[in-house]
Amino acid sequence: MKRFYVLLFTCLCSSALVKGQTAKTTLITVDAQSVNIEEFIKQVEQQSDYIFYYNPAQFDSFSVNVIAKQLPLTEILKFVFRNTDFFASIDSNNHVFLTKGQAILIELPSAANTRRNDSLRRAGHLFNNKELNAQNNFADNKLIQIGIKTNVIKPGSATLSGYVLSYKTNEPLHNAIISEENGHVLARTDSNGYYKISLPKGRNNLVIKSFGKKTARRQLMMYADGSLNIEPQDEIRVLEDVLVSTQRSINVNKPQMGVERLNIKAIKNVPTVFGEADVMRVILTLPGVKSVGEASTGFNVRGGSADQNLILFNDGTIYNPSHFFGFFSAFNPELVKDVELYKSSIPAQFGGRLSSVLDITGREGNKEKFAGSAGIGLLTSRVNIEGPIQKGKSSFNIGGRTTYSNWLLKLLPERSSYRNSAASFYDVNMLLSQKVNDRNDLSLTGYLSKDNFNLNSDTVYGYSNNSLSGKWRHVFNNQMEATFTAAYDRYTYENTSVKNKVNAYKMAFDINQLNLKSHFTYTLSKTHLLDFGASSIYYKLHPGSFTPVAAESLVIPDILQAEQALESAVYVSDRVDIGPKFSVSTGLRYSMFNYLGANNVNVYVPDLPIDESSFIKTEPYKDGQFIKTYKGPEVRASGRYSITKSFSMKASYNTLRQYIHMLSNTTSISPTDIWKLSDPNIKPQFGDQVSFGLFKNFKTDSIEMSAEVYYKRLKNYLDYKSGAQLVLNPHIETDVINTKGKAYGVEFMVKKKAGKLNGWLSYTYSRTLLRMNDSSAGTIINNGNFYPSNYDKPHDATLVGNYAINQRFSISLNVNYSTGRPITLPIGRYYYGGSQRALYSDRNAYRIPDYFRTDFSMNIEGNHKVHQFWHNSWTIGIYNFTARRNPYSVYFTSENGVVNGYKLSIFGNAIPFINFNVRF
Amino acid sequence: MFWYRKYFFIASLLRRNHFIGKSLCIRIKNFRIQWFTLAAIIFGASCKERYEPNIRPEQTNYLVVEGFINAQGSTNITLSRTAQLKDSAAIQPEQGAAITIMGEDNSTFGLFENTTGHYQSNSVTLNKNQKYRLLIKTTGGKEYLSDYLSVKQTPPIDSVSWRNESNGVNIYVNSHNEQNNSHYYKWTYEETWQIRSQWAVLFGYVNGNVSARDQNEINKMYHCWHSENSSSIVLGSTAGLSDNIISMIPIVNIPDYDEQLRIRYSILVRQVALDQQAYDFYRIMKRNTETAGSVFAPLPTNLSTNIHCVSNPAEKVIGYMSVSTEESKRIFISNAEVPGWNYQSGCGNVYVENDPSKGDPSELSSFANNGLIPYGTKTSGLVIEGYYASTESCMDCRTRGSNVKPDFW
Repeated sequence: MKRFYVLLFTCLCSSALVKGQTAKTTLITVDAQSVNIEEFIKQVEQQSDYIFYYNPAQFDSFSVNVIAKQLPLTEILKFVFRNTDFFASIDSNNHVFLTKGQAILIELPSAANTRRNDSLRRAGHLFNNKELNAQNNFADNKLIQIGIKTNVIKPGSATLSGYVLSYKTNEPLHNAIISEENGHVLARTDSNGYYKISLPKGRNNLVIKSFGKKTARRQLMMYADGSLNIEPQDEIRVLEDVLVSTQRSINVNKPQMGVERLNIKAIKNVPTVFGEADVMRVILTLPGVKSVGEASTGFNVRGGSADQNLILFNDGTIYNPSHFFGFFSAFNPELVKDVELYKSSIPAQFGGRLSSVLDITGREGNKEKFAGSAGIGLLTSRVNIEGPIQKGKSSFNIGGRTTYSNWLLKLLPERSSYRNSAASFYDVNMLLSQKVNDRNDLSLTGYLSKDNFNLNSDTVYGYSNNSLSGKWRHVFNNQMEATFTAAYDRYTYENTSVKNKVNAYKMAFDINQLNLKSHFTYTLSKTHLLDFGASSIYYKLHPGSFTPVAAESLVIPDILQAEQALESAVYVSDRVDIGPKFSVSTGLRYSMFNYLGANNVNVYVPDLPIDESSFIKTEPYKDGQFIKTYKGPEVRASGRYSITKSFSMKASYNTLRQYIHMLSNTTSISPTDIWKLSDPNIKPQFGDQVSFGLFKNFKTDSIEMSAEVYYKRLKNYLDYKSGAQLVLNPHIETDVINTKGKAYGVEFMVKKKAGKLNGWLSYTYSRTLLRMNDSSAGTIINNGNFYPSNYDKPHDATLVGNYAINQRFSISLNVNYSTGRPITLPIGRYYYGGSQRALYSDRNAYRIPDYFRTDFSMNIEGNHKVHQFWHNSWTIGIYNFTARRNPYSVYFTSENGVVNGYKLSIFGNAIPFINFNVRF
Repeated sequence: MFWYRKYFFIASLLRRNHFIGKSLCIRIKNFRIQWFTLAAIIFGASCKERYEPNIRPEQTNYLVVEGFINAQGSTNITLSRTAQLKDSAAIQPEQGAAITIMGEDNSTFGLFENTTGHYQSNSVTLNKNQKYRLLIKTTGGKEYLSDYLSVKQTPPIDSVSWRNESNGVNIYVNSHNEQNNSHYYKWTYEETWQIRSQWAVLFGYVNGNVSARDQNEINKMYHCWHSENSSSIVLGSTAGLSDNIISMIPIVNIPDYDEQLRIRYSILVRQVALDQQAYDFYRIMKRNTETAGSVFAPLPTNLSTNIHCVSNPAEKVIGYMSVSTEESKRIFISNAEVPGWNYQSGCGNVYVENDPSKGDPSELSSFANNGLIPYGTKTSGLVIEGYYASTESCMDCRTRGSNVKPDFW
C-alpha cells in the first residue's frame, strides 16, 4: 500500500514535467494464457524498456489471458484490462502504472485537452467526491474485487464471508452489523466475528458498524464467492450512540423473541451489593426473571424452577452459578464478553432444560498487546491478564477472583464461637484462542470455581464447579461452516467434619458430564439459513456418599450407587425470509435419553403411589445395559411480521424436555442440593410455551419498547412430599411427586440504550401454578386445585437507570419491587394421636411481605488520557438505600409453650460499599 | 459495636445439636441456619423481627375428630378444636356434642360424653354387610356427617414380640390376613409399667413437725403403676407384598436402661384395618407432624377428610372416619428377662440438720418450701441428728402414676 501511495505522490508531482505517451511505440509479442500478472509483465519487460509499477496484492487473483503478435503495449493492455476496473497509464519515461479503480494521471489535465489515455479507462461511476472527502480512509474508498475477475459479470448472486476484526487488536467483533448503504441489514457477525452474506454480483457498497469502532465502508465488485476480512478502526471517543447501532433493530427485526442480550458494559452499569459487576444480579433485573430472595442462588424464568435453566459458559455447563450462596455470581466480569438469555425462542441447538438458556460468552484475550485489570473491594478482589501468545494469531485471557472475608470474622470477640469460622471462595477462568487460518479457529476455555465454609469450626462445607471446553470452528466454504465442541463439566460438593475423630465423616455428591456437539450452519440462499447438528451428553452421577475420613472414625460408610445416562439430540432449524416483512424460524429437535446400568432399580406396584408401601423389589441391571429410554421431538418455531420498519409483531411456540432434575426442598440452589437423572420411576419433565409480542423502536432505535405475553405448560414437574429426605436417600422416588404446572404472564419493557440517561424499566405480571390431582400417583395437594409455586410472585417491577453527568462521573440507580413469595404457614395446632400437632395452611396459601429495594452507586473515572500506563476508577454506592427490612425467611419457634413467628432479613440496613478498579 | 450481640442471640437461638448419621436432615437444616447466621455476621446488617402473619380467623377453629367406629365393641370418639399458635392450652375439647352412628339400614347408636370432649357408645356389634356413618351435632348448631363407610374386618394379632437390641428393647407386632381384604393397618398401644419410689418414705412433715408414717401409707407411696398411651402414629402396609403378612412391624422402642423395664412392663397393642384413604390420612398427618419434626420443614401437605360440615361443605375438618373391628394383644416383660438392665433414677438426697443450734433453723422448713419429703434419719444413739430428704417425684410414686394395681397385672 505504501509503495502505491508513494508512487502516486511522485507521479502527481512529476507529472507536470513529463510528457505523455511517447510517439515511438515498441511493438510487443506476448503469449500469456492464464498466467498471473508477474509472468505477463516479465514477458513485456524482456522485450522492451517499459518498467511496470503496480501493487501485487491488487492483482493476486487476476489472471492474464492474451496472445498478441507485434502489437503496441497500449493495445495489449487495453485488451487485457477490458471489462475490469484495472487501469494502466504509461508516462513518457516508459513507466507503466497499473492501478485498480482509478487511473493515474500522468499529466495535469489541461482545460482543453486531456492527454490521458481514455481508451484505457473503464467508463462508469466511481464514487462521488463528497463521500471521498468525508471518509478519508483508504480502505473505505478502495474498490475491492471479490472472486476471479471476469470480463462479463454474470447475473446472480455470490456469497461473501469473512471476519470483522478489531484493527488494533485483531480481536473478533461480535454483533457487528453489515448493511447496505440504505441501511438494510444484511448480516450480523457471530461471536467469532464471522459473517456471511449473499450479494448480487456486481457493484455493492457495504457499511459495517460495530460497537466502539468507526463505521467502515467497503466497496465491492462481486464476481464470484469470496472472502473479505474487515478491520474497523477504534472510535477514539466512545459514544453511547455506537452501542445503539451494534444491537440496533435486532429486537424488532429478528424472528426470535424472548431473547435478552446484555454486553458487559451494560452489566457494569448496574449497582450491586459489593460494587462488583455481577452477571447474575443483572439477569434478575430483566422482565420475566425472578429469584426467591436475596442470598439465593439461581433464578426463575417465566415460572420455571431454578434447575430449568441451562447456564453455559463458553459451552461448559455450570451447575451452581454463585459463590457464597448467591451473594456473588461465579463469573468474573473481566472475562465475560456478553450474555444472552433465551426465555422463549430457544434455538434448536440448545435443549435439556425447560425454562431458559443463559449463554455466557467469555472474552477472548487481546491478540496484539498485553493488558490487564484489577478490582479491589471490601470483601473480594479480582485480576485479569490478557495478551497475545503469537501476535495477531493467538491470545490468552486469564482471570481470578478471591475473597478475604475472614478478616471480618477475626474481628469477632473471642467469646463468639464464630471466630473460628472461615469462609472463602475463588474462581479461575482461562480462555485461549488460536486462529489457525482463515478457515479454522480453535479455542479452549477452562473454568474452576470453589467455595469453602467452615462454620463454627466443626464442619467444612465446600462445593466446586469445573469445566473444560474446547471448540474448533471450521469454515468449509462460503456457505457452510461448522463448530465442533467437546466439554467436560463437573459439579461436586463435599462436607467434611474431622474434629471428632470418632465420627469424622465426609459427605459428598458429584455430577460429571462429557458433552460432544457438532453444529453446522449452511446458507442455502439469501433467504434460507439452515442450522443443524447433533449433540450427546454422557452423565455420570454419584448421588451421595457418607464415609469415614479418619482411621478411628466409626462412621459406617453409606454410598449410593452411581447413575449414568446418555442424552442425545439431533436438530435442524431453518430461518426463512418470506418477503421483506415476514420472517420465520422453524426448528425441530429430537432428543433421546438412555438411563444406563449398572444399577439396581426399585420396582413399585403399578398404578399405586410410589411409596414404601408399594415397593415390590429391586431389579439389578448390568453395566451399560439400557434400563429405560425416553425420547421425543421438540418443536421450536417463531415468526416475525414487520408492520413498519421499526414496529413488528412476533409469535413463537416451543416444546422442551428435561431429563435431569435438581432435588431441593428449599427454594433456591444450595450446596446440599443434589441432581437426579430421570429413571424408570422419575419421568422427564416436559414443557411447552406459546408467546406473542409487540416490538417497537423509537428515536432511531435508541428507545426500545416491547410487550410479550406467554402461556406455558409443565408436565411431570417434581415437587416434594412433606418432610422429604433428599440426601442419601436410596429411594428418592418415594419422596417426590409429579405435578402439572402452568405459567402465564405479560412482560413490558422500555429500554433506553443511548444518551446520557440510559437504562430500562420493566414490569411483569405473571403467575406460576402447580397442580397435583392424581391420587394414584401420590397425595393430592390442596384438594387437587392449582396452587402457587414457591416462586410465584405476580407483580414485579424493576428500574435500572444510569446517568452520565460527564465523561468521568456517572450515577446509577436500581429499584426493585415484587410481591412476596408464597409460603405454607403453620396456622394453628391441635391434639391428635397423643401429641400436639401443627395445623398447616393449604400449600403456599400465604405470602411473605412484599420486597422492595433501592440501590445507588456512583462511578468515578480517573483521567481519560489515552497514553497512560493505567486507568483507574472508583465505584462507591449504597445497597438497600431505603434500609427496608425485606424478609428473607420466616420461621416459627416454640417459646414458653407458645409458638411465635419471626422473619429474618439479610440486609436490614443500608449497606455502603466501595470498589477500586484499575485497567492497564 | 452493638451489632454482634444481636447475632449471638440469633446464633444461640438457631444453633442446634449435630447428630452424626442419624439425622442428616437436621444437619442440613442446621447448616442453612448457620450459614445464614454467618452471612449475618459478615454483612453486619441482618435482623430478626417478630412476624405475625395475618391469619384469617376462621382458619383457627376447626373441628378435630379422633377415633373410629368400632364394629364390635364400644366406639370412642374425641372431639376438640384447633387452637391458635399462640394459645397455650394443650387441648380445646368440644363439649356437649351429640354423636350418633347411623347405618344405611336406618339403625342408630348414640354416644354419650364420658369425660370432657370424650364420647363413648355402649358395646355394639354392627352388621358387617351394612355401611355406617357418623353424625356429629355441635352445641354451635352445626352438623357434621362422615361418608358412608363399609365395615373393615381386622385380622387378629398373631403375636407381639420383643427383642433386646443395641438401641434398647424394641417391640414388634406380627399379623396376617388370610382374607386378603385389607392391606393397611394402624396400631395404637397402651404401655403400663410398675414404678417404685427411690426410697421408702418413713416420715411425713406436717405443720412444721416431722412424724413417722404408718406402713400402709409407706406402701401407698412406694409401689405404683404408670400408664401411657401411644403418642405417635404407627402404620403398616402390605400393599407391596405378595402375601398379606405383617411381620415384625416396630411399635415402640424402650431406650436402654429406661424405667419401663426396671421392674415389670406391659404393653397392650391394638390393631385396626384401614382402607387406603384412611391410611393416607394418617400417613400425611405423621409426615406433617412427626417426620419433619420442625416448622422449618418445607411444604407440608394438607389433610384430606371424609367428614364434612353439612351446612358448609368447604369448612375444614381434621379427622378421617373409618369403621372396623379392633384386635388387641397384651404382653408382659419383666426385668429378669432383660439381664443387665440397670435403671438409674437420677434421684439424689439432701441432708437437713435437726438441731437448730447447729445450723439455720429455717432449713427444716425447706422441706415444705422446696417440696422435699424426708424419708430417713441420721441418728446418734436416740438423738435424730438430721433428716435425709428427696424430691416428691423421687419419693412419692403417686406423683407419677397410680398406686392402684391394674386389673390385668
